[in-house]
Amino acid sequence: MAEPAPIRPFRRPRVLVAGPIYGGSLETARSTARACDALGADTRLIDYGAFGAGWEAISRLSVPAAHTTRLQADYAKVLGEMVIASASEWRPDLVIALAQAPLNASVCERLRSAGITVAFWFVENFRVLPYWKLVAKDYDVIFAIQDEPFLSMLREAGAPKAVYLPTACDPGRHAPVALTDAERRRFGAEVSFAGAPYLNRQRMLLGLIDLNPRIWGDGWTATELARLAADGGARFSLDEMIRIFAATKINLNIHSANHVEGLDPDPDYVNPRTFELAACGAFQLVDARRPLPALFADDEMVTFRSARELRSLITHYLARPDERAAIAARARARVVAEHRFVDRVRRIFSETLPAALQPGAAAPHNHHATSGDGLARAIDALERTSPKMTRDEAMMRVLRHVQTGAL
Amino acid sequence: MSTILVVQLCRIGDILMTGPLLRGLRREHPSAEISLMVMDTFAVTPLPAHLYDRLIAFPLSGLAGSLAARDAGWEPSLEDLRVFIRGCTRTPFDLIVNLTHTDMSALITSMLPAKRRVGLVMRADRRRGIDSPWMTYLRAAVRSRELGCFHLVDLFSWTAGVARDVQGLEIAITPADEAWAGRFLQERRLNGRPLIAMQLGASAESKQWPVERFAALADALDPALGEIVVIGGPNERALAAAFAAAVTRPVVNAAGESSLGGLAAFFRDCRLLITNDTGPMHIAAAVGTRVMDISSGPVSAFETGPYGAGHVVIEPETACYPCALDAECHHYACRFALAPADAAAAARFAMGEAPAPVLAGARILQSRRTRETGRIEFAPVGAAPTEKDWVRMAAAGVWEHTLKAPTRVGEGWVDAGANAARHAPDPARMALVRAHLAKVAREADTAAAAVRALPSAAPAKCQALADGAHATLERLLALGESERAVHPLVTYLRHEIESVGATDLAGIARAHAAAYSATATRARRLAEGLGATS
Repeated sequence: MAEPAPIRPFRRPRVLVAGPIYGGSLETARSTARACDALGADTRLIDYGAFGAGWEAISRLSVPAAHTTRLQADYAKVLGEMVIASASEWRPDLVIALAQAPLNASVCERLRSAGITVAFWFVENFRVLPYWKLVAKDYDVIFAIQDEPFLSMLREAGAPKAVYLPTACDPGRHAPVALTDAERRRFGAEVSFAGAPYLNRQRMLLGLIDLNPRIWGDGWTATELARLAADGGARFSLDEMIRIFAATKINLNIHSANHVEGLDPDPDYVNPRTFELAACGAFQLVDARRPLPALFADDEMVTFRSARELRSLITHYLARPDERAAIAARARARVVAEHRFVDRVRRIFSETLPAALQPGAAAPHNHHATSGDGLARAIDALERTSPKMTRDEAMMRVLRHVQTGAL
Repeated sequence: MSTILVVQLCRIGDILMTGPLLRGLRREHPSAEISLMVMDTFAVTPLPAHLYDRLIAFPLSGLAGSLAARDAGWEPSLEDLRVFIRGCTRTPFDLIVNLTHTDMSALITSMLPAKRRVGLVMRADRRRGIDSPWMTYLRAAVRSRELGCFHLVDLFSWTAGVARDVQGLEIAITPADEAWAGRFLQERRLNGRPLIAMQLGASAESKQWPVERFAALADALDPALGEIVVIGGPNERALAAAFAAAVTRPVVNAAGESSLGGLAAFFRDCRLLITNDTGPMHIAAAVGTRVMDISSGPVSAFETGPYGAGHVVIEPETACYPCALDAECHHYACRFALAPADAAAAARFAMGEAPAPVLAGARILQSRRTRETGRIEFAPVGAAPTEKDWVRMAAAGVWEHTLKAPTRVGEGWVDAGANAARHAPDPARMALVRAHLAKVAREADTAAAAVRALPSAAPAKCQALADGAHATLERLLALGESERAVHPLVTYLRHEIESVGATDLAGIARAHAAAYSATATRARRLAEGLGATS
């Protein structure tokens, strides 16, 4: 008789998410960690948000620039060691680092040599931040928001595996909101833009100045559009952002591009704002991007290819509230069904974790696995049906500990 | 109290360390029936039978075997477990003391009928709870092990409310064990000769001083001090062979030859056991043989060192020693901190043949009894106390006082003197630590006032008060991560809050307020204690 297959272990995967020290992907890291948790992973987030002030403080030191760079590199090195400290104590199955997380080659190497899979989600435009060339070889898998030719370029730079993975929305945080009268007065607008003052955005919005768009975000007071800057050019919080979206008839979404007067000449990624606006049930006009048709149907997203077309679309949709509402509702239905962080993280898990640790892997795959997995499933079922642990469940849990050796 | 169950589901060393608790229960509840639950693997326990009335062997091997019979499924194993649980008792135990920090032990403790349970339990809502201040302390202390104040033997006793007596560990020695030891000494022509035993192995490589260093130590010791006898279990024969190949002087190899009782009988004829932190170390301590324990990796003498006065421990001065709980080490630097020549000098000191040497990269600790509670503490010898020693000493007093450690009982105590050399800690550093402790006290007082106000607060204000207290806890835990002296205090607070069993708002608020207030008191007392040292 053949040797029976061993009982497949059943346990929650352990996932450590490492965010950046500052910047937009801080929120992406938090949403990623929440998605890991929602998929049943035992999740820890190293949230470096509190360390951004230290990074800023170093940049303000009165020392030569070369020293600042070295000090920031040393600071990042210390922060990177926090991943090692956490991982060596907790032993995760997977570390997901977001763009700008302070993991260097040594940290990745030590994690990988300890048998931990290290993934990198580069939620940035590769043309703007070229450091990916240096780190590509350090990770087991790199997820990128841009498809070919970037994926091939990553492989040429030494990445063992490169996978296309667009950003997403977090429906728990990006959702329609009912506004009070005061909020309507504060945030209300015919046309709004919320974001940073990249050159191409300034040029596009200058062309609309007669429409009096409200412009949200910091940095705008130093531009020719200062008089349109809402809230004195202050930063907006997540709570404020979803209210801006809700109180605006037409939200403009213009992908950023440096040193470009018009629209991004390489429209090969979709920014997080596209998904966030859609999840909030807000109507948006977005500059045309190559991946959009694969992510949204034609009647879910309205795109423009020039300043002239944008102006014409604004005029058209301002006069048609029903059309705006119908398009926004279809876009929201799409994103909450297909473009959530849990959808993206499920893909990350499928590329990085062994089958036994995939979400929903409790179902037995072979006859011999029935005993072990059956016990785990029976415990889960009891836990779902009763708020209190029964005596039988307690005994089954004891058996489970005996079975897994967790004594 | 008529029936007491002690749950000890760990290994031989832990079972031996449970002896003083059992003796104390017997002394303080002379009419009680005392049961001891151990894993079936250790059902032939090394403890003397007079310490308990009934041994319950948890059928781990049987259950594992039936679960592994995959075709049968798990239901028959559930029935086996039901039968075992039913067989443990027909009437509720008056007291169950769970000394094991695992979910499995918590489940077993919670499903057995009992009027009172102390130690780790599993509540009906599937949360862990710890119904014992000393077990809560232990759970908190394992996260900052470098500052651990109390030996497990003392913690076990105090968990059950039992005072320490002057006697240490106990081990059963049968006439057959005595006979084996006599035969062994005669056959190897060791009768009447001074003997130094060496235990080379340990349960994990991280705890094990390298075997070639043991060999160099043996060579560095004057043969007139004693014959070297290598002991150990059957699985340590290969280590003993490696030792024999490396050593140049004659040695006696007894690895794999004796039972635990036989080993205990043999140890009585030894003047010293040189060992890592192992089961045999506790056996030697139980028969009163002087021990020199070479510590490394995850073990800390303050928790599990040789129990009794006068034993010697060498601990590395490696920054990361002892390893954090569940830490995975990639360098084992602490295993190589102690040079064989230094170990030989320490061994001469342990045997009373030389004064305490000053070691390079390591230091010597010696065990002694304390005056008030009779617990064992380890104090540095031949070197100034470090900052951690000062914090540990001050914290021990605070915990003993606030958690109400029982005063020692019985006769025969010999009190240790104060440290010969009094060195004040760095005053600037102590000032900083005291400032952090003052911050903890202030914050905890504020949180206590906030949660105390909860039951009478307007509903709209309740959430803000609760959020404020929660934010305080987060801040305190963060402070504990940066200031280690604070860590045990705030981790204890967290475990205490997580263990609150009350489900009504008033009860929860009372329990939380008490926990915050106690934390403030501890922080102030510790700051005062550290102020007194400066």
